[in-house]
Amino acid sequence: MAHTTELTQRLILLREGSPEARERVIEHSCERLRKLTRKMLRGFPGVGRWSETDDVLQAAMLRLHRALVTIQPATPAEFFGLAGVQIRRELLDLAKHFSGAEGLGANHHTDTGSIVSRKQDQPVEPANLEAWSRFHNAVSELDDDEQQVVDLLWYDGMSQPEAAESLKISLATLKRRWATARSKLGKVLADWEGTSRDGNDR
Amino acid sequence: MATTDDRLAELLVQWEEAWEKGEELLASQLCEMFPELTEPLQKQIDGLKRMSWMTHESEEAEHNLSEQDSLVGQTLADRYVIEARIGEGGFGRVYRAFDNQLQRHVAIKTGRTDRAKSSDQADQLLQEARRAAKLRHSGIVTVHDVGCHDGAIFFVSELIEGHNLAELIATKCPSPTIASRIVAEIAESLQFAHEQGFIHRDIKPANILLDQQGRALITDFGIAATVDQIDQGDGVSSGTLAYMAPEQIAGQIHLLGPRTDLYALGVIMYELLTGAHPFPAGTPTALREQILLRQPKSPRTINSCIPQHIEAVCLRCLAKHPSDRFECAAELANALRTLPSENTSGRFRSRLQTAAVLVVVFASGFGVSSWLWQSQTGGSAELPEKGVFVFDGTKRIVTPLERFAPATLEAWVWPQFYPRQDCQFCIGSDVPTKHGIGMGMCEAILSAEIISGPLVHSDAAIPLNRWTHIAVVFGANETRLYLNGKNVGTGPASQNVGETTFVVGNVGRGNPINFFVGKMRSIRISNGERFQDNFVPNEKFVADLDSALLRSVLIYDGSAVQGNRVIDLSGAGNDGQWEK
Repeated sequence: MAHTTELTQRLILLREGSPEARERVIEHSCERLRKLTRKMLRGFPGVGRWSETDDVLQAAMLRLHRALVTIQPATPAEFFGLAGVQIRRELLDLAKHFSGAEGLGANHHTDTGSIVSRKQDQPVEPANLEAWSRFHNAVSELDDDEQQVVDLLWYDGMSQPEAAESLKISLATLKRRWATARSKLGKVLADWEGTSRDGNDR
Repeated sequence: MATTDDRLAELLVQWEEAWEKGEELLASQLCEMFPELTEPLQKQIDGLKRMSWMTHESEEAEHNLSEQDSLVGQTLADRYVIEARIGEGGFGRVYRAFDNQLQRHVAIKTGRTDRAKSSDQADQLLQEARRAAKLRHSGIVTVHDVGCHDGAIFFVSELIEGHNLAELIATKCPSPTIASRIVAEIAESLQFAHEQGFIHRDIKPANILLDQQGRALITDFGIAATVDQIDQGDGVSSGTLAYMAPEQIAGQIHLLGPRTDLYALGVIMYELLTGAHPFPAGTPTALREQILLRQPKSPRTINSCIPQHIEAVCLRCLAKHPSDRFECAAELANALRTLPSENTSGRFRSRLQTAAVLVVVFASGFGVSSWLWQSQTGGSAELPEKGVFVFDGTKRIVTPLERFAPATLEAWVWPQFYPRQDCQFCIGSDVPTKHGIGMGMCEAILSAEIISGPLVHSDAAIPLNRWTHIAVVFGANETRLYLNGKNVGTGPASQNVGETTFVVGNVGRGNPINFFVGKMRSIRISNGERFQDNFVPNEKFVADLDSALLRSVLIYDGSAVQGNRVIDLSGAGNDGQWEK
């Protein structure tokens, strides 16, 4: 796939210390942040209501860019790992930002059952910004090995072979960590939703 | 030696690989050798299932990238330069393209290039293009041209900048007024098509485009069939299940006709009004059964703000038998465009008289309909007073007052519904899509916008269908929010930037969602920080003799309107313009 080939190429160039490759990887990370932000906010049109989303996203991307430019990683894996962490932090900040200080709006949003039209039986993305924050936080609480894999695959958007190569582990190991990590995240979010629902019932 | 965790991880991967191939293995099957792991594995599987959206995202991205169209960048018929793929349906793909000859953007639809180019498919497309090209109506997407590229037929149509109704339903809950307008527009376009001998047979939200002015246009006559063709027994099975009429599902060819489209439009109307499908079935089989046999839940039980006569129109469209639906699309449109006149009691007539006064005041029928709908929906013993501003998204008040800070915005408001996922704008800057200062409600919560910062949310909800005083002080050091005189929230200070004037009720044109739905009776804007502590709000705002640091610079009251001119009672001469 074109995407895979291009990233692999960048990885090699990055390993060789190419400044251009580094710049392109940073661009890729920024683009990834933009994409994940859109994904996170697309169900929340209120976000784009009075405040212009792009302004805030632009500021987040600038921060990410600055952070990545200043990173002096020993290896490409370290670089991508840090990029993933930075993206996650920015997404967490954005979620908090838009849900408004731990989100009265977000809470209310859930309380009013505003997601009634979502498909009931299909696993869906977090339903509100508070849940997104919870997701990002849950990732940061995973074991380091699992966190690295989530950062590379989900936040950086790498393919599994790329991530395995970047981490210098076998594809089988990567798959195990990826599956375990998601399973743990699923449990954390389910527990949280259960608690949240109980709280609302009261 | 493998640990339990390693073994569980291995089994989890095995389960997922099978699942991705469509096979769901049981935990007990996988744990035959290690039965003690069955329960923990099941828990891990549950967690993994829950997070399947994480993998769909990357698969989808890779799929899209891998399928980067070979057509993008190509020129069709030496004329149409394909710029990007903008949509995809079961039948084909839609591209944005540039017409070199006429120097304009167009939409191009073609069959999927990754599928066998069957002659049937080509014929169907050609048939579609020829049929659709005959339909020329402002509410139907115009087909300009038909062509052939690499053995596949494509057709060229008007490019509509905007979004489709499916996106609107998924993200917003339009007011009954807006929903009715959209459905009436579609019905009027359908009437035209029906008169030409066409029925669409695949009316669904994804096939209704909303242009930048919010105008609804029907597209994709891909499976439309002429009545003649139906008479010949052609075209029973086409359509999208969720929007198919009972007679389509039952294969009752003799019953297919224009009213089949009205049923689908009824489903759309139901979704617009409630945000939910009339038949919430979990499987296609259950959905078929419900469409054929069950009555939909009353929309008003889902959204109590829906006026009764609007609900009646919607449910009539959803009648199981075509003869119980409207006679024709025009009759449906008329039912939505006109107000109910029967059951006019004395009390109702007195409100009609009041409404008649409002017609003179507002020079608009929409204010009247909102008023009447309120009288029908009832539910609250507290009735609105005579002489109020009625906002429904089509109107606003534009003031000549330039934005400034410190400032205090106040209003007596009577909200009529809570948007599901959006904010309603009450008073603030006329700067669509940019930061301003403003006061409004996000879902039910009193909120304020400050320049270059996030919205400031209070911890208080504005109740529906009663008068509430709301105020926001945009102070030098902080922003304070008040509900009925009580401080219910604080946020950072706003900057003092001019640039625009203040508006009331709606940010402005091109912001069809960002408006307040309900009534306001009085509005006051003061220069300075009028409130520091909790206070008792004045029932009426009157000109005051405050110091230079604090004075009213604008007071509007629903009783002080002359034609489209809203009189400023503060004495500062800031009369407003009632705009629609």
